[in-house]
Amino acid sequence: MEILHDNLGKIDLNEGILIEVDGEYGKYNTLPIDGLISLAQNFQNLIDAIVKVDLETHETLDLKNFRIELSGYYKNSSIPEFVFTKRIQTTIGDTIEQQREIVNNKVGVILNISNSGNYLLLNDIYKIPQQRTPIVSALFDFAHSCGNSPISIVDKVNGGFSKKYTIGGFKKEIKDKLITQVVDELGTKESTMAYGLVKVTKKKNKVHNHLVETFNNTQVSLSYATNKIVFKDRVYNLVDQLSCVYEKIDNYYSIKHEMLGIFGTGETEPEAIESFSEEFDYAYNRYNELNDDQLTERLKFIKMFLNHLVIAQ
Amino acid sequence: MATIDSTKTRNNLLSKGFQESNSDHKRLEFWHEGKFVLNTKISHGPSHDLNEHLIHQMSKQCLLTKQEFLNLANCPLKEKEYLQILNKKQALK
Repeated sequence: MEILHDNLGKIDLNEGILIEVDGEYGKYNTLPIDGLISLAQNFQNLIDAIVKVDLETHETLDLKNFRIELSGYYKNSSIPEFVFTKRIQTTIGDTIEQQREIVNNKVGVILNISNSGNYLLLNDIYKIPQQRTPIVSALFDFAHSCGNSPISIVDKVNGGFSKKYTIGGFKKEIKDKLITQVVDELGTKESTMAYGLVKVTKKKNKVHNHLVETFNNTQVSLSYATNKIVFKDRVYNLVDQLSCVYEKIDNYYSIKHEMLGIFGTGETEPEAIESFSEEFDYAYNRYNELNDDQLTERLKFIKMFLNHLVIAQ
Repeated sequence: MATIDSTKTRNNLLSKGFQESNSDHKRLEFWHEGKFVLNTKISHGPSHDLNEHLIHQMSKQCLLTKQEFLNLANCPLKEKEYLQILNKKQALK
């Protein structure tokens, strides 16, 4: 079905999109602040809805990469220009460029449907009600951002502007036919942390990270393993690898060995390793300074374990 | 983000049975009935806020959850209650 393709020209939010407001809002070649805010917010909501629905299966996604910013304003009626943010958040998996390409294409398709006035075609591209509902709602709000003032997407042509897509005629009765009253599961995603196996590929000086597998089992953890502990001028060679739990918690790193009661933390990974080494050094020396009858059973066990672990210093 | 003052924390811990280490002035040790139970590292010097990762480290070293440690450092958790927690964990034997 031809209408389902963006046949009026590509939308590229990396380059920018010009949205013309005519009618009452745009008649003085200015745009009231409330109209600008409403237009920008509703367009952002439409982008967010597309991202959540069309990139739902993408395991690594950061909505911040799809924020739009005001990049220009033209006096012909009233034409603000919006562009995807350049404030990029790095993600693993697909590149941001690939994700934005999918969103650009879908924005084009939806605007093409708006231009045709046959909004029921949204049923064809979003067959699942839970996916269609947020798109329809966001598109309806966007189409009515400036009350009854018509909205169009325009292109710069020969020093002027030419209409590309007209967004209008979206009646509430049509919207009600398209949406289904369902619990918006897509808007209330639950986030949890998981570990992942990432394949790192270098090509033409660009590094691509591809997520191979995620490990959701809460009993799975990352490990910091070493057979040598170094602190200041002291080196502890160990009889075997000492395997510790390694974590990134909010904005800091943690390396811990619960059984030995040794915990290192730091704002960077080297700081955490240094901290862990310092704690190891203290425990080994302090427990050996003391007689066993000065230690609790727990510390006696740790002292014995440490003495077994360290083969040379 | 939780932050607590280093001097206030040091003073409160000292008032709840911790003592300064002879071998390392950055450490406080907890002894009970003549036995060394645990130690925690606390930065020395001018008063400053202890950041998240130090609070995390000190909580673990004191065998407490983060909230329990904040209560110990800020006063609500008394020495007697702290001993009860350590006793439950069989850390005093």
